[in-house]
Amino acid sequence: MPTILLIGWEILSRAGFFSPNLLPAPTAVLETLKDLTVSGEIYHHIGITLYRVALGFLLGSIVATILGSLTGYSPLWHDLLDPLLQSLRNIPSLAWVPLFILWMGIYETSKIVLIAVGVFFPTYLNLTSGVQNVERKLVEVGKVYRLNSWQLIRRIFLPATLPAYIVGLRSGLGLGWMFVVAAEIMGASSGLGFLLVDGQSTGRPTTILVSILLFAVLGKLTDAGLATIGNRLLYWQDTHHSST
Amino acid sequence: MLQIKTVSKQFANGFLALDEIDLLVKQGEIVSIVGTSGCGKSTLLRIIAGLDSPTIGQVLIDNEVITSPHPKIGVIFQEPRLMPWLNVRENVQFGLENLPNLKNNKREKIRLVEAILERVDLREFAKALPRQLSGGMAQRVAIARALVTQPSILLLDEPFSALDAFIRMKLQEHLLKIWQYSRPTMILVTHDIEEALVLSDRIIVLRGNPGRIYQELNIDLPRPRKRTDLAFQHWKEDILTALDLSTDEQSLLEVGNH
Repeated sequence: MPTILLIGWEILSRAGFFSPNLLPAPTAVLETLKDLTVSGEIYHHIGITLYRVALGFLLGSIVATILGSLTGYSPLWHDLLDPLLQSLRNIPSLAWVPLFILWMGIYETSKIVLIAVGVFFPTYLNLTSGVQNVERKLVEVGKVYRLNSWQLIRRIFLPATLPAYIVGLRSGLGLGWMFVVAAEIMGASSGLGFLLVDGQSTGRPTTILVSILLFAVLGKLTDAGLATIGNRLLYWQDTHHSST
Repeated sequence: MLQIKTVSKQFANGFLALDEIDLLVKQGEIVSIVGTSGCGKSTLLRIIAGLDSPTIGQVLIDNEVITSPHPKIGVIFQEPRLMPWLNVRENVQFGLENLPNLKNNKREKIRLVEAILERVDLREFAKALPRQLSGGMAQRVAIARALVTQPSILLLDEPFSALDAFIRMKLQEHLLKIWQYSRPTMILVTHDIEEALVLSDRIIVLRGNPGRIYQELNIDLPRPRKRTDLAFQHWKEDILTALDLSTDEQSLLEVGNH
């Protein structure tokens, strides 16, 4: 199906059906990609965007892991922190942008923090509910064998929470990609998001499409990487897809 | 020896689940606790296991008061409760995770696990994951996990009620064999009267709301017991009468912790 669409698009473009300065042909997009690759420029943009996503993802997921475990495991911490975090979650995250820029300047810090905020919430939510939903019956088995708190966490809570945690990390990463675009559109001199703005202001739709294409590919690749790691760790799951 | 001294349990909502239960179980004895749903029999077992505490009264093992799960006690639940991420061998070894006198003796741990896997015929499935096991096999793994610690008291909470009749009878036989081998004290909660009769030296009939011991029956039938024997059938009649299923609808209400 995608192939048919692509071929149709190419044919219609060549026939002059689409105006090339609005929707250029796929081959024209590839041409631009080639030029940017040859000049080496593209690697710079990809590199800086990947760097921002990676750092933001790391920061957001680490904070989410700590707070999510805490609020999932301890009812006291849940009551202390969760209402606050839930109400912060209701703020559209892009609304933070002006404040972050004011606090941290327009350079890297504010961008990475914004991405981290995006990554934080889905990771936190999945983890905290994952920990809360660990089966009482399994925890009881741990108690029968007199496991201490640390052993309970390591032997039961950690593996039992892993499926929800990986789902959280994957949706966190998805939001991370979304937020890097926002951050780079809002003020950057490099990165794939910058290419979007640059393409728009200089009237080059091929550049925009190259950027979109690369976002799609990179997002897919990083998600597939996480999914692969997840499946390796969750080989034991009794799911619809697992065969015995 | 296991002593239950005037144990009462009142839940937070005021419901009196157990009312002054007194019971003495000798080492190596098999005692069944029967009763309708909500009569407090599972609550009593959980108190002995150290998973719940009594409102009043005490449970003692060899004169030691039970306040939390005790290393001498093994528990088998209604469901296998295996860790889905561990294979059969690792699940059995889970029982040894925190045994004080085995802390760093890896070789002894492995020996115990292999020996018990052999005894419950699970050696060739040692690497299987729980999702690959049938219900009966999973419950055998749970039995192995409880036995690997060599408990002197084994608590069983309706251990075979989720299995079909044929597997259930097989596992009952299996359990008796294990008992003849190491002679642990066994306390079995069940609502299967035949199961209680096949296994027990003594049957305690509990009646609910509030949970009280209604009758104690010493089953003096020789082993192995046949369900078709006339004496067996007579006992069954007696227990049905003691349970008196016709009266007191309250006691049929499901109360407790399932």
